[in-house]
Amino acid sequence: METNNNKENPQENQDLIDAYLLGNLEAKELAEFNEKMNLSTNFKQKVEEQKTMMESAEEINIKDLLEDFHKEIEDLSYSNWMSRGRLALAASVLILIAVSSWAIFFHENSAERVFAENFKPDPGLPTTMGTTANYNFYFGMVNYKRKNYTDAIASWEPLYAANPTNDTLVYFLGVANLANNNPRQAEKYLLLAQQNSESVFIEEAKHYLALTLLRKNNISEAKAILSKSQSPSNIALLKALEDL
Amino acid sequence: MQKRNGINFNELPFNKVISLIKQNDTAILKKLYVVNFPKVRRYILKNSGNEQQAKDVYQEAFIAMWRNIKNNRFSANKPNMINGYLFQIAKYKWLDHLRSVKYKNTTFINREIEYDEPNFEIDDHKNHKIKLIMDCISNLGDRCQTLLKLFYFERRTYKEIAQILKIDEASARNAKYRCQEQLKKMTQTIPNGNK
Repeated sequence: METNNNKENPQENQDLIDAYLLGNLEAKELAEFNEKMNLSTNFKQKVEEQKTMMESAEEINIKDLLEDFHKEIEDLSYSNWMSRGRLALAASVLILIAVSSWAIFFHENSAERVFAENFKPDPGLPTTMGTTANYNFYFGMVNYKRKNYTDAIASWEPLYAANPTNDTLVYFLGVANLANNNPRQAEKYLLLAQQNSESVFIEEAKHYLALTLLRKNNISEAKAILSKSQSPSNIALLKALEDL
Repeated sequence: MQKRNGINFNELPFNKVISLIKQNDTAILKKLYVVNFPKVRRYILKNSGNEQQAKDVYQEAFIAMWRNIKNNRFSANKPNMINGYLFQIAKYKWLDHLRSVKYKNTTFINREIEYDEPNFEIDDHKNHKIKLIMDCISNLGDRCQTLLKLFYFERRTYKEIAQILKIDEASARNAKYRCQEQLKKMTQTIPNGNK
């Protein structure tokens, strides 16, 4: 027997199915719901469709979450590795790689090649939203992590206009612009990002600013930016630039 | 969605762990992810895989485990059994990959290639449909994507969503309804999307 759903409010129906899918129905409501599914194949089909939609919405988000978890594992492995007194070894390996690279590629060394070898966009920040999280910043980060840099920049630029001293924002605007093949804009933001000595992004900002300058074929300024940096990635990049 | 720091899921009752996984609790998912990755990574690297493959296979296995727990397809009574289950799925997926077309003419000496398939189902039709809907979700506006995430993944109430989006509760409910209707229309216009 099919029940007549024509007079039902579709929004209320959607809410009812959500309550069922999310396990929010009381025992009596659940019994009524199950009875309705048994009586109406049409209703049962709607429940199945909404369930698949919910599963899809969950799955797309758990994928983002797992990427965040993985990034943390990689960061932890890196910091553990570096904390074991292997900095000297790392430096030796980097120098060896640089020397070997020079030996192999000396005939085709170019700013373009060094840029391509060293540019990898920052993986971004976790996108689990807190209750007070900035909605537009969050939007931008989701797009950034999906490599939709144009959309990310569009979300972040109005925030920058309202708060031009936010170091996180200027840093990610810089990296997003560089990833989006806009070194001119990237330079503007990364210059700001690396001026803030309190910023947790200072070393990364220098790294991407140097790459931006390299992209503009301004090698001497790129070297000057890296010359005072102590981070292993910046030391390695400086070495690569010195070989140009 | 509840958040906990420093959680030890071995100290939680099994039913509680399962319930938290079903609610997409970030802390418990993270704990499971971080604790189990090294073993899967070691296994895949030891068996001809690389770092990227270890990550991809592990994430696929993790999602399969998560989905099966949500659909009550996993039966056990101790939290530790979840770890074993996750490893078995990852191992199965990796061995399945090794046995795929690319490798079918290769003779493996490694005896570990002989394996028992773990108890997890792969519904290809449903997987295909979920992938299509996920593509449609990616094409929704940012606001709709956020609304669906907050409601279905983070399990927020309309009141909480209203606070986050700085709108009133009734608007949050209406917006979520409209987003879902939009998504429904999008899925009906793609091939094999509505069946």
